[in-house]
Amino acid sequence: MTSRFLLESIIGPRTLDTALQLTVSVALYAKDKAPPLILIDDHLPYPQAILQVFGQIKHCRRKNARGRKKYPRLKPPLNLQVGVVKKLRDNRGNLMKVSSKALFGKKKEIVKRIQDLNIGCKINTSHVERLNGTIRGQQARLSRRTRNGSHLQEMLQYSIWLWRDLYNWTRVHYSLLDETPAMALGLAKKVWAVLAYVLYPVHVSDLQRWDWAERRNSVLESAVDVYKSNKSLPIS
Amino acid sequence: MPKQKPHKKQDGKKPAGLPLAFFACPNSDCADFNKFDADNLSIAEWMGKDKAIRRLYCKTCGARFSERQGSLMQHTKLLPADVVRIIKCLGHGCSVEAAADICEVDTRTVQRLLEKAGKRAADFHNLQLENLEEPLEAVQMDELHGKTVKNKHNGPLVDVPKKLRKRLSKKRAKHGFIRLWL
Repeated sequence: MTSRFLLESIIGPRTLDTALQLTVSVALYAKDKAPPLILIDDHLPYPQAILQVFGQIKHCRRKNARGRKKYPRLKPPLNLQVGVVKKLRDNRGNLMKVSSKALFGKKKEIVKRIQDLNIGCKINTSHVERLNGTIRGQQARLSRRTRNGSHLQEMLQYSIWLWRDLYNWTRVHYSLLDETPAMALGLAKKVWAVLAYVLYPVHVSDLQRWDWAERRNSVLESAVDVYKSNKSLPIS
Repeated sequence: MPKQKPHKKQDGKKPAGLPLAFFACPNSDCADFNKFDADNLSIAEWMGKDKAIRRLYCKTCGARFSERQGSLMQHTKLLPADVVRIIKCLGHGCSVEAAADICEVDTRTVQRLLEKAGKRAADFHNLQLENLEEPLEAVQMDELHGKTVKNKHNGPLVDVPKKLRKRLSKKRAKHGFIRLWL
């Protein structure tokens, strides 16, 4: 069963850096085990971000004996499965066709895994698209043609973080059989009341914050960067 | 400004608060830091105007702290019901002004609470996800368009070469534009 848990929401321009931050959050909760099945749309920075975070080092062979050695590159691990939903639009932006493909892994295996996990019949991003609709309806700052837009990016981020917690912990979902996403993920045993959320004491030490930042940075470092930093310097 | 609500009178009895298992020591140097239901807390005293807030004592490190520490009720004079109503309004799509009007508080109160709640929400999310036992199986990633208004006064100027800037400023001065902004 799906959990519909909103894991991360990052505000920023549609660049590689933002995509990287998002992918790092996914990698952090993979718990050093096999990477999860990733379903994305055809946003250009995603493949590079996924490869940088999950990729393994690939030592290229020289074809000829002469010349310098080739620089190591990144390759996707064998168990990484990424499906892409591609939308074809006409000049006016109207949707013409939706197609899907496998970015890493085999399409048949991805489709089979999707069916096993019960999140659809083919490669899709329908759950997150539906979530986008929900957040647009429940956040004044994100609704269309609004006068309530944020002046500061920080305030938009705070309101989304707050909404994310309320969504994950206090709102029951019809498709989850009246459970909250946190309950479906195994983090909570009952539905949290808003009062319980308000009164819950949250204590975070500076060391813990430093540890979180350090873990994020270590995941953000690609295998090639680690290889380069570990390379020993010549002694003489 | 909305009128201040009169304080509820207590009739000598201490209000029944949350069980002590709901709290944890906030002292980061303590061995029982952030450990819930560790049986290390006791009530030191009752404080506040109505003596309704408990000051807790940690037996492990000897720290005394308010039961409101780390919650959204910290440093606020609002009643819990008001804070809950503001949070619910913000979570259901009300703007700051709308939430302030519904809950009969100042807009700055809502703004301040939102800022505090947002920062706390990020910490809460990270802390709770540390308890995640099984790794994720499938993830969907997507983008959502939104916009923020840039502050014109703090916005960076366009880096235009000196020669070009002179020429542009002359041209623009004729039409009523003074400076070139981003």
